[in-house]
Amino acid sequence: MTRKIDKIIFSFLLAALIAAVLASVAPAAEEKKQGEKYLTRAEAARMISATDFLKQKIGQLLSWSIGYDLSSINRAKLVPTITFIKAQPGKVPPDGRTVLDILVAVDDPSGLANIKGVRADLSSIGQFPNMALVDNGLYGDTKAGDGVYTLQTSVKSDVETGNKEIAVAVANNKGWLTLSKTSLDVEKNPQIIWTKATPSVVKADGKAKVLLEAAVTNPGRIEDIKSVTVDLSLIGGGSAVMMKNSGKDGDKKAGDNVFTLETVAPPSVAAGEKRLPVKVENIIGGEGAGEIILTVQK
Amino acid sequence: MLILSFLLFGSASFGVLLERGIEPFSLSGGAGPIGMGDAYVGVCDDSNSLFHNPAGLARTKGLSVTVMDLGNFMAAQAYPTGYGVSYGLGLIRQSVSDLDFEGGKSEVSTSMIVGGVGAKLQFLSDWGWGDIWSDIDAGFTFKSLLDASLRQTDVTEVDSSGSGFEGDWGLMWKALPWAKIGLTENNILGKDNGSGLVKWSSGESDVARTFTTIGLGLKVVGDRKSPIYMEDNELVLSTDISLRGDKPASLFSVGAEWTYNSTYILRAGLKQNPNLGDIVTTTSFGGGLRYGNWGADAAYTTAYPTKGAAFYLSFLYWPREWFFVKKPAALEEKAPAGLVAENEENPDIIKLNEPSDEVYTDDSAVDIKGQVLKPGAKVYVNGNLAAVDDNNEFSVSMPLLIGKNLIEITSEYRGKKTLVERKVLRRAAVVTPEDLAIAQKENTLIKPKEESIAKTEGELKPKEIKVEVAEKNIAELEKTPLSPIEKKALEAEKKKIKAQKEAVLAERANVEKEKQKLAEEKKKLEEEKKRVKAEKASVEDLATLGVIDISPNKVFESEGAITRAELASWLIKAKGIVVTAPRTNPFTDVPASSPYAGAIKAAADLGYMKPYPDGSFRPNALITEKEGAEIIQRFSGK
Repeated sequence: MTRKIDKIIFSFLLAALIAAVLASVAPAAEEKKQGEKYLTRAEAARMISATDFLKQKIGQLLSWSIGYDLSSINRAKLVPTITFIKAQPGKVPPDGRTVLDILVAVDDPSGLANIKGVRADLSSIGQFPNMALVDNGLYGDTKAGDGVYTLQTSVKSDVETGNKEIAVAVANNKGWLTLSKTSLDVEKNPQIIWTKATPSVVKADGKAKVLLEAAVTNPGRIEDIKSVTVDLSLIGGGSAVMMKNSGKDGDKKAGDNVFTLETVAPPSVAAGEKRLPVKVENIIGGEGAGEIILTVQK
Repeated sequence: MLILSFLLFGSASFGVLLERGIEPFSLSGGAGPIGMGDAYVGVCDDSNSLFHNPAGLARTKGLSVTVMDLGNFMAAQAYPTGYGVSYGLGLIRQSVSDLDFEGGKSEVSTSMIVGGVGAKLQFLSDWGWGDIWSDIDAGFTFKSLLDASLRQTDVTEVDSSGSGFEGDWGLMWKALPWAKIGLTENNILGKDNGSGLVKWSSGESDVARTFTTIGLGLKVVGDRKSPIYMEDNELVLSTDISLRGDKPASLFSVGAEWTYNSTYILRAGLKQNPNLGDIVTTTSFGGGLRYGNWGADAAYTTAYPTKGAAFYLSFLYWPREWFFVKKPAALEEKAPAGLVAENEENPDIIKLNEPSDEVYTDDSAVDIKGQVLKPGAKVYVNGNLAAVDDNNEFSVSMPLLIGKNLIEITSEYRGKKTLVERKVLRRAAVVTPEDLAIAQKENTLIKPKEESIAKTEGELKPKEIKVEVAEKNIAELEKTPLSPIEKKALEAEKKKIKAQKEAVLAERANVEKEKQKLAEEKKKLEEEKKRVKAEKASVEDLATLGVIDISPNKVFESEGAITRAELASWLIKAKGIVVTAPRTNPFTDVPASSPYAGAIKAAADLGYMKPYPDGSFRPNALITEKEGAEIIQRFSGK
């Protein structure tokens, strides 16, 4: 028993000795390192920099006559961007009161907070050449801070009709600028876009009703149409009979752009195709003309 | 064209040419200068500078060909090297007939080749010799008369033939943005070494006379730098005074050149010519057209000595980039400091205030600031449009790449474009723990002390003033008659003030002591900063070259031990080798997916770093100084 214990103790001691030897041998490679200092990053950088190859490269780096070519130009896009620009409505009368909205959606490589300001040149519509647009939720701007800058203005009454360009400039806080432009039509005259007689053929008996319709457009608001008249003298009526937009007497909807008149052809009217002149006038003195074609039967 | 300007030589003389009123080695040329009465020494802004003032070559480039007829033509070119030095080369062919000669009318033909060099003396300013040198240029011309022949008109045989050589030098000083002063000395080589003579086969010889010319060129109307600003108009007035040893002692010439819209040019000039000891004044007129890089000039004047009407036509070409010879890279490296490539063309549209050229910085951006000289002009920086404010000024922040940055500032005005370039070297900013320690010292020790001293001084100052005022008041009171009670009270007050003064003085001494202590600490800290900066210079160099990756706002542990993987990465990047991730694991302990796998494989393949016998690389093992030295030795190939 004692021998057995001795053997166990001996085996244990032997194992411990072997373990100790192994433990001392294994880190031998490490021991070599422990004797020395480890190479620091700074020292490694110094040693690499001191090689001839790197000396040459560093020399080239410091040379003002090498390497300053197209590849060394930073082509990063630094200017703000205009994602859309719009003038609405697209057709505006020169009345000094119809509201014209200039909308400019912008962005910037450094974020919207980097936008310094948006300005528009409104000289083409008789206003100031350097007007600021806002993104504060006021003065026609729908939402503050959304990057859509707005300006409400109007076309001065002395501006001639035609296509007008509005230049817009967006500057950021780092001094960069983007230019863009939009255009609008300054128009004075309303237009008749279509006309219709329902039915298109009517009997000249003084009883059969015919519905005359004229759809119009007006630069600015439809409410600024002063009158739409039709000349019924070819079918025995008045020369300037008012067409209505009241939603009554055959007019389908009040306030839309379709003006209506219900009438009859008296028996005295000769048969044939009649071209009835239609005239539209707006409150600033603009005029437009068209005709309604109606066939009269006996 | 004009080749030799055949100036009549008035005094008693000898020599084949001189006796016929032809002064050897005299130069003139170009329909532009001729249209201005040859008053060009203080103007010299094209390749014809070679014939008038070689110093003008330093800031010109291009080609000019001038023709009068088949026997009279001239060509000149100016070739800039990019280092503030330009070379010029010219060729002249001249033929003058109907000259009086024994036995009948004679004809003289000459062929001359002219070589010149013009240099900006700006490098002297760069060497610290004063700013004035940046506005002064100098030049030299060598003239070789290859062939001169004299023969009777309509006779084939040549009576006599000759050759010779001479030289001129010149200076040009841009005294004001709109005023230039030129100085030339012609035929300076003397006769001791065979120069200054045309030796004829007949045994005779012609002597070249040395003379000095001073010229003044004034752009009186032009851009905002000129005394009179007129949009699209330029008026240059010029005059030359030629001082000669013989009769006539001096000769004058004046000229004017009006340019509209940089396109249309009109010229006029008056010139004094020597005529057998007397002076004859001739007029000249001319015009010119410019289109892009091309130009044409015409001039009408009276030719000497034949006194006949002469019409000259010049064609000019200014290449945007001179591309005849590409500069070798090796030459570029050797370019001396101060002689930098000229890259500023027509700076009339903008004036650039910042940055100056060739700037070192460790900032991530550089401000580009300047002024628009032509209202309405657009300014682009690296293709991005800069905002110009109501004062016609612009200021933009241009982000910089780490390393070399070429910044192109382009200005556009009415279809005319100009380009200014700036070179900026952005060094990588490396922040080490030592930098942080210094910053901490500054914030926790220096700044609080500075604030404390400032506060103490702020409190002390009123006390000092109070004591000073009290002392003055006491001194005043002492001068007045006082009652014994008042005297007693005054004495008490004096004692009190004295005590206060002593306290204030003690406080002041303390403050001064603290200030001195603080100054010493600050000095130490500055020295520490310098040491740290010097120690991390190599790291910054390698980071600027892209060898070491420096994360923004991250501290670089410069004194931390480097791992084998890191070193492998540095070495491969230092060699400029671009590696890709290997398909298979390069070593048992380096998976292909490791960010260092490519660099480790390359470093091992190239023999810079050795793997372990067990097939491992131990990428995270630290490297001893000895191992590092061996690796670097293998890397450097020594």
